[in-house]
Amino acid sequence: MLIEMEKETQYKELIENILLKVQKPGRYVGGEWNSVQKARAKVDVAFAFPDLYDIGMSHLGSQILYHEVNKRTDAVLERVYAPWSDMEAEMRAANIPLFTLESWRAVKDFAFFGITLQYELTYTNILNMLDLAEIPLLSSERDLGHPFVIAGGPVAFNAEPLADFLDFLVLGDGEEVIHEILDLYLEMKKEGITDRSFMLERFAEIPGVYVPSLYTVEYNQDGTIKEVKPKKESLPKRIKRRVIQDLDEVDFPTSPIMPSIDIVHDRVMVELFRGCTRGCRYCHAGAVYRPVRERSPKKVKEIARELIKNTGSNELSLVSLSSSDYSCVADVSRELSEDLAKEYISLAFPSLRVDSFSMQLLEEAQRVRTTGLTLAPEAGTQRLRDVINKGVSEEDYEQALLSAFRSGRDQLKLYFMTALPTETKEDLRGIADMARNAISIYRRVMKEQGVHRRPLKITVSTSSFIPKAHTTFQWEPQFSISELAERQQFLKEELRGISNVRFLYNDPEISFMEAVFSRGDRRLGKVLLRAWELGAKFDGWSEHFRYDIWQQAFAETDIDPKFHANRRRDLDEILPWDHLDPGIRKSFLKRDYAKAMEAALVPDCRFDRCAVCGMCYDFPVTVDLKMKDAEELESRRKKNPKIGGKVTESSSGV
Amino acid sequence: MIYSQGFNPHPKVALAAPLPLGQISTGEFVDIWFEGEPDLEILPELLNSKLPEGISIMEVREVAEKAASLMSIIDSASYEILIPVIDGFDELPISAFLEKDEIIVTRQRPKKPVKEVDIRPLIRELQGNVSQGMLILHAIVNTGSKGNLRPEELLTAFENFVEGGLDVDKALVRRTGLYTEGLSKPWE
Repeated sequence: MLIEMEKETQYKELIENILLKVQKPGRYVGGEWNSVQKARAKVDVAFAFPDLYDIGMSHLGSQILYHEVNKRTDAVLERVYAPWSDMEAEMRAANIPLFTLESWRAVKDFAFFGITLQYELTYTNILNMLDLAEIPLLSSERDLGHPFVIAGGPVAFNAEPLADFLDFLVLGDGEEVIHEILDLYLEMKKEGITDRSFMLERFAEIPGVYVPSLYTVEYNQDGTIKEVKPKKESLPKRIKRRVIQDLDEVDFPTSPIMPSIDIVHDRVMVELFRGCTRGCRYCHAGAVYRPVRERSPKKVKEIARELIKNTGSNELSLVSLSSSDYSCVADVSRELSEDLAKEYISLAFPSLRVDSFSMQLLEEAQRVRTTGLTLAPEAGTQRLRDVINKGVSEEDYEQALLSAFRSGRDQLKLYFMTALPTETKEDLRGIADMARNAISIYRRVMKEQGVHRRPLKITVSTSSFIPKAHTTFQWEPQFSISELAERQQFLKEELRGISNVRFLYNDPEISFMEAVFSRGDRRLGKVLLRAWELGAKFDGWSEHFRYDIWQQAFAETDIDPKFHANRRRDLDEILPWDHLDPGIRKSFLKRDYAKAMEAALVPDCRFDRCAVCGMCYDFPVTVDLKMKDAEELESRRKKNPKIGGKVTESSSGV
Repeated sequence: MIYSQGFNPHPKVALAAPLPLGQISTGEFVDIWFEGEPDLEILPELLNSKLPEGISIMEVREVAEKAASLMSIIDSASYEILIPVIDGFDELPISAFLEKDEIIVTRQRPKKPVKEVDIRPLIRELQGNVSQGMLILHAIVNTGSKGNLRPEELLTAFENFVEGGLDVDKALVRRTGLYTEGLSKPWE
């Protein structure tokens, strides 16, 4: 059967012919509510989230960029996702190049092919998408007839393995720099400049833009890096991240695209703040998005109301890296949840801390739909939680559970990491103890309330620790694959016999690959290319991941993956990402690493003194809190003079 | 709008017979429950301003609160099916097709075993003509819970009967109407 779409493109018939042969054609047809249909503009960007539509459509950053570019009259940005294997096969058989959802035009005909880097295991998808797009994989083989292949997102801070494939990367917040890039392109087009390498040099002048081909890397005999050097003196030695100081000054998309098919997180989002200074030592986002910059409660509420009006969504999510830490959270949550409940819209907080304050917040917010409770203590003992600077105490955990069970919740999901630095069997046993403790608290609450409920269902979900670039643990080795598996098995045994516990853990080989590419250098490009040729793609999906392919690719390119994943790095070693500067100083990370080994905590600079991570000294930014209470803000400023922000009025009249 | 009760409240909206993926329709019915009494004059306009391209409300009618749901009263649907012809026909064997005592197709529904179904009783009307290399079929078939025939099943059966000559992969299916008993509109 055939499907007929209203698109003006040379590929219309070819695409229509295959749509009904694949699962969920809705992934490829576009036309969603709030998606943009624009005539051709002076500059066009094909923007990829290099994973399945269902995943990519849940990504807030993509919606922000979509809005930023499409609000211009001279530019258009259209989406593209990694086609699932069934679609890929049909596209290849029918010679259909990778196309965007909005217009079904070929990606290769756009001026830019932008890619967001959210996790390392999408690298092979990027290669596959370039190939499907009929764009040469290597940056060096592209000419002016090809789009500039560019990338941004958190992983851009350590994307050296992609150095051969990307024309340039953009570090940090995208709202301003995207316009600078498009403006410069238009300017060069007007000037009639056609020399691609000259154009790349011009792009490199934009702060935050990193052109990997303009930097050379030399290596020592032992395989470590000797020097990373710009090819021209005019180029910066270190590329500094772009940071937006005041979130109230940038637009936020209040008419996001609403998917026509089910996606992973089908809800609209308001971003409360950017950055997190809790200082968890494993956390990449905590390292590369500093400092905390809040959106004012007035803006948050305005945006929330606009979102509901423009989308009709039945779930609104207040997002950030740790939403209960938003200084105006109580006010915003109270007011919004009251309003939204009237329209059967539920309010969600996707990332809450483990403490009773967060639980109260949750209870207050969830008037429409109550869900199970998800907590992330990350480690099973106080000692190990202190090593990772998680700052969650046994008491916090118990208080959180008490409050959740008292309001009738009977499902609990706990997230932990295993194979953390310094982890012992005691720490793994601690995870099982926490599950047992939850059951006894649950029973205690039933007794106290004089009710009988069905037994508590617990899911213990673990992921293996992956050392990440720019974090305190960037020098740490990952345990070997067999050690990762042994620790999972040990925990599995420990959890056996606790009633109603489900244990989930991920594939150690996939975690190993993520560790390799998280801290790898640009020599890994060869492995990527070879693995892709051998058929690697969707490596984060266990049904697609083929470790045998990767083993073959490493062997054929003569690269030892353990060098990148399992080696303890010297504190003085030049790391492959040292020339990319998110703002956190290496000297701070070294101090923090020493503290970690003593299980010593470092406080959050929002609430306590500044720990001198360097961010607010080396960049023109400060911690920006938009508080309701002037005295409170003043007392915080006394502890940390780097706190800025203002006292905001509440529109709720409280 | 009225919301359903229960764990996960959602607006009460029920399509008479949800259109399968990939089919075009020129006429569908939907039940929507409203709180209070919306102005029926402006309701279509209001809804149309928010509906995606290609879907518009043609007409609204108020029904009694206790009226039977559309889903339970719709029993047949009409289709127009366009199929590219590969080899020409001397004469379309439609009456011969309909004169068969039984027309068996194999039916595979998700998570259920394959079974053989006689679809002849489900075909109410079938007409066709060939024009400009296209076979155009007009069919009225049973739909809904008391017997359902998918147009693609009819198409497969017909192709088997004429033994090829049709490019079924490129067929275009358009639903042209939904009917209650006696081929009437729901409010008749």
